Amino acid sequence: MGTNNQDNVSLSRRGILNGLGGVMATGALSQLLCRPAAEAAAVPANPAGITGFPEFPAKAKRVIYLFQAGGPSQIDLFDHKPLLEKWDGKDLPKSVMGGVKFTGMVNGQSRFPVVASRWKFARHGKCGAWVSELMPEFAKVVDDVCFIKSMTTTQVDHDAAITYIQTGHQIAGRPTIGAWAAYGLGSECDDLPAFVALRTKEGGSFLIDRHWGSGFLPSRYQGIRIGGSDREPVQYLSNPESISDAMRRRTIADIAALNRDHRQRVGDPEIDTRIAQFEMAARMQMSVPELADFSDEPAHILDLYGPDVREPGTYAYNALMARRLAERGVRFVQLFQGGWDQHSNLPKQIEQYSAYSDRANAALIQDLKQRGMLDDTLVIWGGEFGRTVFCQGKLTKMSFGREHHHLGFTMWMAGAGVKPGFTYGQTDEWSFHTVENPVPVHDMNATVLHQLGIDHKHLTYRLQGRDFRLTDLAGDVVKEILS
Amino acid sequence: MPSQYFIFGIVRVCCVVSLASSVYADVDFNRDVRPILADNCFECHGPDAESREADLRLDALEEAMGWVIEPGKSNESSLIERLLSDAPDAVMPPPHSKRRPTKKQIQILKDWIDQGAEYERHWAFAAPITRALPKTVNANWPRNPIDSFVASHLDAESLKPRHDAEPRVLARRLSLALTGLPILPNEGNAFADDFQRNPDQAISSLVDKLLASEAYGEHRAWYWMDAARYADTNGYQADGHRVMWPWRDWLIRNLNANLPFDKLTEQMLAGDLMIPKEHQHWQSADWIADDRSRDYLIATGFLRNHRYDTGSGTIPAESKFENAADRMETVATVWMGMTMLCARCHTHKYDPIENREYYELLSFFDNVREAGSALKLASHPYIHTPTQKEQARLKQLQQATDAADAAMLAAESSIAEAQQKWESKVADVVRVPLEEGSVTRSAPKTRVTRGLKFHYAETPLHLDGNTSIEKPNDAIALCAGNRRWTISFWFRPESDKGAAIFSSVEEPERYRQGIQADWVNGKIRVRHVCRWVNSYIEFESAQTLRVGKWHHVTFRCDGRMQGIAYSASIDGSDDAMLCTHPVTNDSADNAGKAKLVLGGSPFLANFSGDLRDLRFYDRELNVSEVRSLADARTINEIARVPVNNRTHAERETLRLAFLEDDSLPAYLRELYNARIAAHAKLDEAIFQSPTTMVMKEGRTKHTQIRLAGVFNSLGDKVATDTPDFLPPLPQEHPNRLALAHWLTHPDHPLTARVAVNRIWQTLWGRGFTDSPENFGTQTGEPLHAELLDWLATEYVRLGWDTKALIKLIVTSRTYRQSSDASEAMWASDPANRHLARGPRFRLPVHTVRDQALFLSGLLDNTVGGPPVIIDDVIGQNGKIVKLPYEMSNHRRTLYTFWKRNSPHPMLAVFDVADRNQCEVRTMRTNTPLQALVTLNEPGFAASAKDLSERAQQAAQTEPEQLGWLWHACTGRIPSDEELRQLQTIRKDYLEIADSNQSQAWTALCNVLLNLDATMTLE
Repeated sequence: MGTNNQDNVSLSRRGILNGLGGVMATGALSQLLCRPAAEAAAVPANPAGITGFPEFPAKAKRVIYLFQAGGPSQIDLFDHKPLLEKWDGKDLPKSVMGGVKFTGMVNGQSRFPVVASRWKFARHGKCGAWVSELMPEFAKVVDDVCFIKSMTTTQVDHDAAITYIQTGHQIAGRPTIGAWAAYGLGSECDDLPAFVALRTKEGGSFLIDRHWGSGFLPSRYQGIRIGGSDREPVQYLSNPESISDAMRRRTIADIAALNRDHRQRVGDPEIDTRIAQFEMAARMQMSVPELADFSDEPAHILDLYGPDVREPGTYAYNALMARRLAERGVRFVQLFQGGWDQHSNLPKQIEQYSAYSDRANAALIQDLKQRGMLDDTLVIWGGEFGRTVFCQGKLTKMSFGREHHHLGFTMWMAGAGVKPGFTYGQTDEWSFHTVENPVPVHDMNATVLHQLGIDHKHLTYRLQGRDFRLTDLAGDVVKEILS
Repeated sequence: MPSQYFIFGIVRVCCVVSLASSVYADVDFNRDVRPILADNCFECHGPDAESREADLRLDALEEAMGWVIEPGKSNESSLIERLLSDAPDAVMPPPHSKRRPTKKQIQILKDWIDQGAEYERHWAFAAPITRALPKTVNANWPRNPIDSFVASHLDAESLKPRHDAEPRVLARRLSLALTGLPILPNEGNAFADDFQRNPDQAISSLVDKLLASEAYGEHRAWYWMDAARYADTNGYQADGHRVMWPWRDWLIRNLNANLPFDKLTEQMLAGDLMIPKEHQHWQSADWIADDRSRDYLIATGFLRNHRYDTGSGTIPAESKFENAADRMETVATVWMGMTMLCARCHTHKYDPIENREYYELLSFFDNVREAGSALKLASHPYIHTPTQKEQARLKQLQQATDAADAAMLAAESSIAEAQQKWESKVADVVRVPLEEGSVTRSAPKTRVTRGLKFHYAETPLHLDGNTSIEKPNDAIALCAGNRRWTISFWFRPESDKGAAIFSSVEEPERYRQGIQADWVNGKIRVRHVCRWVNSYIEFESAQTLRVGKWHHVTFRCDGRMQGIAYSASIDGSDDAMLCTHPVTNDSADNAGKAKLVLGGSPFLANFSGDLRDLRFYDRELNVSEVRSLADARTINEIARVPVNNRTHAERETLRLAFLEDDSLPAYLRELYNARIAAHAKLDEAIFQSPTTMVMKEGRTKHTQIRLAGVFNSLGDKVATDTPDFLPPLPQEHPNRLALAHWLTHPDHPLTARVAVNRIWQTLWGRGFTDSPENFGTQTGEPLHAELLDWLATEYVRLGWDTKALIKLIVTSRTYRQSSDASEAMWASDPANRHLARGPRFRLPVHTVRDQALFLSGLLDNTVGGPPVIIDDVIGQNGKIVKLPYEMSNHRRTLYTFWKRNSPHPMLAVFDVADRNQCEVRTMRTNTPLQALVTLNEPGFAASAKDLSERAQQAAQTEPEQLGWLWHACTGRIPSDEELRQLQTIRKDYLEIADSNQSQAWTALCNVLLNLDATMTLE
């Protein structure tokens, strides 16, 4: 369905629904949808959540998770360590390093020289949070942000670490955090999926479909990828060449009519679900092009996100898309940015990737705030791990690399009942070991679910005789960061 | 899910009025009680001694009797008292567990105790017994024993079976279930005629025909591929391309040939151990000419289909452990319906599997000669597996080499005569004494001279650990990944200190291009670095070596710029060197410009010891040449071995030396060169042929428990054994072959049940149990347990004849029932657990797609061969992956190139198994994205167009054409009303399409292909 088709643009969503009116039926299940019953099909296309969820009043109705794949360097962005200046170029003391294992990549490296950050740090906002000059715009919104400087993970390699933070287990096969949220809470929206993944086009990364998959949960909970570098915002959204929009509307109606007759004949209620899903597909054909059409955004909003916002697939574009999805009731939006895996030539790359995202991160927070959405939208920024204080490869003033580091790294959150202008936890003066209030991945995930009104221990799925959950057998809500 | 079972289990417990306050009569321990205990109690009172509270076990009840359970007296049993307690510190399960049995469940426990608290083993852990067929009210209904079980059950439930399905619908059902393809209207009509005459006969012959079609094997292969986690890439982060489709073709061939399940098991799990003795001495990358041996080896690809990690961060020991764990867990899931995973870290909470037993079972699978890091295309061990066509060419080339060999053989007497003279001449060379520790040996100059370009340390070079010697780059310049080359040398370390024997390192701080030969951790390590850290080849000796001993090493490359291009040997054996880093990328043609340094490198201490006979060849040496070079003796020493005492290797070495000697007469040289050329051609052809990864047993070693399941936290050594709660392993050498025999032994309680359940699941859309992967204590006894057991024993009785079993199922009256039902019946039994109607389920995606292609006539029904690409495959860098495969949207779905980390998007949204691990459970969701696929995906769109053309050719008049279409898609002749609807649609569409006939027809066919009836097996 072309976005510039006049016929299409003139039709409001409700208009489409009315057009399909003959197809609709009222049904007992319609109350499961948050939308008015009149707009709902007999069987909801989007799954309802688990009865009784959320279990307590949720601070966050939805989540926008800005995932920074590759492992951004906390030392160069947020975790200010003045001591390192004195040690720059000198070997990291053995006492700090201990017997910590790294990947095979630094095997054969005989020296581990400290690299101090090449970027100036300053305190920002009323809260006085440290942010380096790499993130100048973001530095302006720190009073809305809660930093967690004591993140730890157990995994040192990208796929395992991404899989771990996304699913709670390093081995592939479990549902990702967004799929869990969709499974537990269902959707607030009947023309878009409950969990949407947005992948930016910059930056080689380790991101694959599985990283927003539903694992052993039914596939309807998986993250649906919208945008990115695909030709269409959603796979197979456009009609085949020979089928016009008018024809598609008729075919959907006829499929529904014939299926209804068949339902009468054979009695299988699953046919109702099929009818509903075809209607949802047709609604997505309408809603997604409208979603991807930023022409209704005022200029000042577009300016807020920066010039990249006009180019599909950029970080800025996806940040605005995330807000638009959140507005439409999508439960969990996860933006995936790659490129942070800076083993060599870190200075050039970190400047590049900070520039891609700095303004958009700030814009997203401001934009949500001015709409009053920051109160019930949880924004999360972070990657699968951080980077080492020591240099990987050759060290010169402006050329060096950093290895993966899992013992202490930084994430930040904003909105939805998380303490604004707050910093939690800290690493030692080398940004190597976490020395105060460590937050393991399971605790972070438990906290996210908690803000969504879910006790992470109760969100389980029975498989192979065992109740599985996002936090595996661990996880404590980090109450200290909640207001 | 077990809880559902439980609910259905309860249905069978009739409510009675009883004197002894019993609510439920005839409570059955396995069916009714065990699931309650398993769900609520086993976590703390189960098999796991570590987490067991109060030393109380409720999974094995001997100890509980007379303690917490007083048989016959529920009111004196503390089990019940604790369950009913109000006190937070007394109530069980404790409040923090968040578990709470229902009142009904507690009543069942009470009644069970009052009825005597009889208990027996978990239903699936006792071998199935052949029961007498139950009696049925309507003796005319049943067609075979399946029907007797079902009818008797329905009688007991006061249910009636549905009438037979309409014959055309039945024909479509049988065809889709057995071959994954529908049938065309004319065949449906013919079947309907036959059915009128003799239903049983008609069904039987249609089923025979379907079972005999090649499509049968293709269809069933899909389920095996899911179980085998088959994919065309390695998975993990790199997810590089691999070749395993010859295994998939083996599977299709043998499913079609109806290889009995026990034989299939034997070959997939242990084919490598079944090869006739004379063919056992194969090496990785060989072509096994013997058809049977090759097939046995290919079969074991089942155990190599797991994902396999590679890349700069991979830790080989971890990777090997994960591979072995995956093999074991897959076998446990597929054959035993047991989920072993829990026992990896601790004793299983629910099933009687101890932590130790996980590793005992793992021990069958962790002894493979693998490197722990995947190569592109094929990871060791693997063999070349040419296609039929390639085999024909290989046979031709083989004949040419045979002819060339024969010509040499014919000249044997003159060669031998000339060689004898030559030997007496070389035997005159003064012998240099050879002692370990002596450094006075001279290099054997006279052997393997062809292609020798550079030769250093011809006399032994003693390196003192301080000095190093520089040589030009020339020799290193040979060693690019896109050229053929061999490096060969002898070395003898003087200390165990890590050191560089020789190296060439360009840009040490960055890409490190060049060659390195190092002595580290008591092992020899050779590297070809193309671009540090993610593009280099590294081999390491499998074993540690002794200080003070001479060793010979080769490092070879065949110029294909990929992992499999390289090989290395130590002391003449390739198997003794493991590839520990196989990954190269587009930098692989870079040889590096650095000088060759003997005795040193920028990374390690200088070598202390001896180096001699360092050779660089501009070709890849063969195995005999490598062996010849690895023979420490000089040619004259070998020549002095009496002719009759010479070993094969000695004879080969002498012959090679003679043939390459300048003194070889011209006519022999000609024969020899012709022979080399013929062999080179054959080698090249073998190299061009596809490969298959297979199993090859390594040296026996003891498996160790990994504490908390972490690969490098080693615990106690364990024996190779099967879990104690199952029958003992037969008295054989405990290897995979014994395991295969154990699994398919008629006394094994699980294998046949699990296999039958899976077959049933594919035919009915769901199995007897909903957890085909788990027959453990958490899974309640299925409603039709007796039928399942009967089928299991029948499968064994039939000699594991899968086609016979399938025929038995689909020719039953039960399978023949109409799949429609009343509203009430759908409400009371939505999942059709009673079997009071025929199967109805949405077709799996591969069938949905294949059906559309088949109906439209677009289906290319070529069986087997390399995978095909539907759309460009995108790599993790976002770029198109170049693959040597044909692009086609017309082959059956099972041939679609399967990128493990991102299966084709059309399949990904349609519940395909995650081929990252074994998957036997069927997922069937219903989402809008699936609708978008069948509405809009280009292949489905093309099918709609071609289907419309086919319909127009199939009949003359429009009503006939529409009728044909309807019948083709849904399996039914349309009613008059339906035909009228179609005619209206046709007329309206023509109008919407501005009288464009083709568009109107295509849209109509798009509708028909998207009907629920079309996408459903009915």
